[in-house]
Amino acid sequence: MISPGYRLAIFACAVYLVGLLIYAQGLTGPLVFDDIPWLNSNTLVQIDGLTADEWRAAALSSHSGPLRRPIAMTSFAANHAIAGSFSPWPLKLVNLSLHLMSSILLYPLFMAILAGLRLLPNTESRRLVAVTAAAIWFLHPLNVSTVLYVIQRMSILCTLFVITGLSAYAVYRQRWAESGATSGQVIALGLWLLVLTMLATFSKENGALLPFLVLAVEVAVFRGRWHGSVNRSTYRLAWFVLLLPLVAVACVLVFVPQYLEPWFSGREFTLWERVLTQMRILWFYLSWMIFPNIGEMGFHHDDIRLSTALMQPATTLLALLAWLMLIVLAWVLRNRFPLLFLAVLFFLVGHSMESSILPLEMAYEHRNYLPSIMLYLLLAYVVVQAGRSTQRLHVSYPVIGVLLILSVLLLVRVQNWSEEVRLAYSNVSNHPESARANHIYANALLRRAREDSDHQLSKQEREETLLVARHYYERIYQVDNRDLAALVMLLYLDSVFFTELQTQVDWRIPIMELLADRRLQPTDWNALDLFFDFATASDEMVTSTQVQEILDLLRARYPQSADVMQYQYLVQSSQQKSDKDLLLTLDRAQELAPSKKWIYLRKINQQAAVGDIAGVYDTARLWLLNDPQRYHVNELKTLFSAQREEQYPTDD
Amino acid sequence: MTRAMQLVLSLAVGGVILALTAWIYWPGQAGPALLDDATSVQVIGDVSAKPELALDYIRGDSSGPLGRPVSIASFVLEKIYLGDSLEVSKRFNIVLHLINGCLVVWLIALLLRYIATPCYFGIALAVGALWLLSPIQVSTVLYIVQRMAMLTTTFMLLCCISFVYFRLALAKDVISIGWLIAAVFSFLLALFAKENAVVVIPILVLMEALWFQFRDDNGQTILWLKRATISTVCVGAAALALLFDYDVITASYAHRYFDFHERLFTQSRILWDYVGQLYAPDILSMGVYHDDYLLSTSWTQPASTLLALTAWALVFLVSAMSLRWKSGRYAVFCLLWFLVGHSVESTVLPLELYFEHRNYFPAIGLYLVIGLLLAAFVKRWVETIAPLLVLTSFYVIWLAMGTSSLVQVWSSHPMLILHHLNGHPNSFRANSDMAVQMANVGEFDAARKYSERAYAVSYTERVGDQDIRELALACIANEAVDPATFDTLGIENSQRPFGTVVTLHTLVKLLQDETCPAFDSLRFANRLQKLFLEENSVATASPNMYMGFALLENTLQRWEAANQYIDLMLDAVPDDTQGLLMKLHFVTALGKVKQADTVKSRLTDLQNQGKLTVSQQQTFALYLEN
Repeated sequence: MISPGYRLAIFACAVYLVGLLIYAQGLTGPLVFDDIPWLNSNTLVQIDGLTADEWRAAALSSHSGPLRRPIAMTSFAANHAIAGSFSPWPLKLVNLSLHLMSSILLYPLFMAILAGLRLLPNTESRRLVAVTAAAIWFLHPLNVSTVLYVIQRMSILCTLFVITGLSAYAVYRQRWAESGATSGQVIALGLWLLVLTMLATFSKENGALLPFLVLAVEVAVFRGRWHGSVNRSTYRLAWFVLLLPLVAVACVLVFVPQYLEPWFSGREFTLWERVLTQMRILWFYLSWMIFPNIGEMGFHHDDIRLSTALMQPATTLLALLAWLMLIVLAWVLRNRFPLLFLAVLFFLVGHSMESSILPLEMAYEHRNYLPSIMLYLLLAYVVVQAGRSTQRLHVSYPVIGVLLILSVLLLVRVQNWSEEVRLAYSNVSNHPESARANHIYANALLRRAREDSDHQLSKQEREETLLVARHYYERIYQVDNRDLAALVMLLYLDSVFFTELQTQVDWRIPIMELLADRRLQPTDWNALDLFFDFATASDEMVTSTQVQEILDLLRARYPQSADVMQYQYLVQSSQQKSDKDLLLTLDRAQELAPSKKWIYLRKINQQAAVGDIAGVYDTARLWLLNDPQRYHVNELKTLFSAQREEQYPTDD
Repeated sequence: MTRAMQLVLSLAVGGVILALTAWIYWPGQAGPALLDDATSVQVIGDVSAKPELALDYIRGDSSGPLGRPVSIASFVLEKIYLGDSLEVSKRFNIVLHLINGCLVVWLIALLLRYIATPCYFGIALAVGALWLLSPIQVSTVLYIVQRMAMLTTTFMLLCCISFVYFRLALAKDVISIGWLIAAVFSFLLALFAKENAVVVIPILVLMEALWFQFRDDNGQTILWLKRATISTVCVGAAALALLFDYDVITASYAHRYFDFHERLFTQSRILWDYVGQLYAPDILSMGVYHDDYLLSTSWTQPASTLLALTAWALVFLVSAMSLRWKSGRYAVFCLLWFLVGHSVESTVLPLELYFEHRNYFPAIGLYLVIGLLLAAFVKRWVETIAPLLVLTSFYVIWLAMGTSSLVQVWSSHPMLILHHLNGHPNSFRANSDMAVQMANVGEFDAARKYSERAYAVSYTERVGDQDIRELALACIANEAVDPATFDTLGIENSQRPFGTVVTLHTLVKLLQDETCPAFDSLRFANRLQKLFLEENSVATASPNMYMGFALLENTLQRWEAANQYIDLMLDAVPDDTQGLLMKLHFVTALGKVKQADTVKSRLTDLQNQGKLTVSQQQTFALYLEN
């Protein structure tokens, strides 16, 4: 006879095995979106790992966050050093392994919380709930866009360290609630939490939430219990520290919002619009967790309507009121349904960084990776209790049912993630109004047609593929006629592939109109990069006069932009202007953005071409000076070894 | 965890730290030779082919009053047994740094064990890692000639370790002569590696007074030891007071651009700067060249001088108050280790103001402060050892990242030149280095620009020195020199037109090697003759400068002028053996037999007195045969 504990362990292993087998099908999927700039186009992280300083440069090579996320970047560098390239399989395998580890670490956390709340009559029930909750999190299809999106290793690692910290806290805290602890033990745990907070934060900045999540667990679970009695002052202190940042942010929002508003100058929404919209988005997130409708999930959610006021749309007010009600309800019922209180508090604290006042994009599924865990504990508790209350069913049937449903949904979603065009198509099907989803699909098709080097496509299939791609670009334009990227791609496609179209549209005109008044977003600058790459490579798309017109317009609007100077340099190069003119442009760009690597590389090449070795040295000196963290010191070193052989590096 | 497991783990961690340090430093082998490397290391010839010259080199260094024979011996032996290249020398330094790291760990472990620190070896490893991987050590480890500072540290540490063992035995009422001899022997080796090893004596006295606190194993005061220590302090203080001669000291600053007081004022700021660089390094400003450091000319010029002095006064006040407590005395010992470690090079002697390598030994004191903090925490709450060591390792990693990037800079000569220039745009040396680099790549105009800049920021350089440098740069860049340049040479400062010997010798060497055949050497030499040898000329030069002029005339085979220059030199230093040998060469070439005999007689006397090196004896023998 197998003991219940072993039975549960076997069950857990089986669940994880199924989950791993399902995820394994997605490991060969593509590198997508931010994977490209931060991995494929990031030469600093593509190391062989033989010299120590390569690791330093790789660790600091991300610009994703203010702290450069060195732990996550080091893990990518390790992937490259071991595999010799950035092929998706090993990258995603590491993500999956970390996901598995996090899920396993949830078990002691959940066990300690359940014991702390004294919700269930025996250890066996607690184990079942803890295993079920961890399995739900492991199998939940919402997490696919974190686990199989390589760059989200940042979130995964951050979550792993946070969960480790929470588990350590909960396990020890539960013990201390009963038997107390020495001051040394308390300080040691505090120091470990500091270590884990640092590890989490240097993986992704929202790891800094670990101390607040610990406080959330304290106020919702342990509530100041210490050595068998309740220490009120500990409980109050925990609340005070937890609410302090909230009060501080509220004060800033009310009294000096102008301090935060400039952060949003690069966005097409304001501070208030973001805060209001997040009210609704948080409900979307909740609904995806509880009712995992994979038809709504996707890579991008830029089709979510912006809340411009409390009643625009009216659901904003509803969402706000619903949140207030839920918070009040959770508070009032905190003694009867403490797991509800914990889940709501943890969810809100977990989202407080990325889903509040920071000028980030509106919605991403991976933002729920950490905040969702306590909600799944609540769900698991409900499911197990449902099984327990039904006399006719075995207690495990509802659990198996839920996990089966999740597995099937996970399988479908993982299948979508296993191939680039399929992933892009599923995204566009789920979010037909999303410009990004349409872009990604159209780009995937265009890439398939253009990069069909082994001629898998017949000529007709290739033309059809291009036509479908064009259709989607046009659709983006129809949804949002201020989408610059779509216009640039339409201009490119019509000029290069569809020159015989009966109704030729001069896409250049709306581009010019847009450039005259649109507040350019990062995606628009990417589109302009493409435009100038195409336009300066050949004159199929636009004439040199037309390129010059666009350039003049940009220069007038953005006289201080180094990117515009880069376009000017490209245009001048294509027009074969003199070295003096090109160097003047690069000097100006250097004045505007002294830390941009491309300027120095181009300038060094330009100076070397005219034999100005003193100039090369001076440029190298300025590059070194403007790179105080010495991110590019290895490239500079290569420059001087190359100089001996009269070869200079390129910025390819 | 059992003791065996602890030992294995500690050794494994220690191995990782050493491997990481070696890995980080290894690319630094490719770096260049700098400054004194030329005069102390690169002058050592092919000793593997002529081993009889080895002693010449070992006895012949003039870097310090004791000749630093132990350090020079290491260079000589390295050349004989490991090969003659910069890479070998730097690799030797890297290995020596690792050995020193082990010694630091050993010493700290002994000290912490004495004060009953739990996990003392783990803390010692952390302190050792901080010291090994601090970016400030790069300019010691990768600057070959600083082997002297490293080797003296090796023996100073061995001396300290031997003393600790001696002291631990004494605490058990056993006088361990072996350890005492080892300490004395190590001290002597340290002293002959570099003279500032002398600081180890006050450090040992402080160690006894503040760390061991004259206690035996039973906690009783060893009275005779206390008395002996106090007596040593008194005798030392009295000796210093007697030896200190204000007039002699101030007079020794004659050749510096700062005086005695200015040096003391400036050092008060520089010491704080060192503290900052040890705990929170600013990599950009690190390097060998700090000759642009702003001089403190009074208490308040610049205002930071007063701040620095006040801060030191506060530190001393707090330290004095801390002496009341046992643990306070440990902390004071750490601080005094740093200050006493600096007492030779950062106080009254007329040395240059700022060098990072001066911290190689004193830094141990400041990192020991961190070890002491960890020890205090762990003694109070033993459970905190693991997270504290992990947090310290984060700090180590942060320092190591700075070191790693700095090593990359040091591994490429052009990069190092640019780094120095960026960090010290007003450094004479950084600008003149860049000028030479520009000339090397054929960019004479740029070279002149940096040369002019070097002159503009220099405190001491004469126009004539700048002119000679620019002639040398023109030669390196193979650029034609305007004839008028020669005619205006030495017009300014007519009594002493040139002061920098190295530049002149470099130019003469370039001309000897025929690096620039188009250079009008004759016109240059004629101009110098006009300045120094004409009947009414008022210009004078240093003996070494005259030797340079003589070498130039020798290159042109104008023995008469060469002989006149060497006479001027010998007027100032009549017993200079090199000068006499040159004189012998010139008078022989001129056929002045009588004069040659006189010189031979003088040289024979000197040879009999043992003042000729083996190499000089061999040269002299050739003349005696003829």
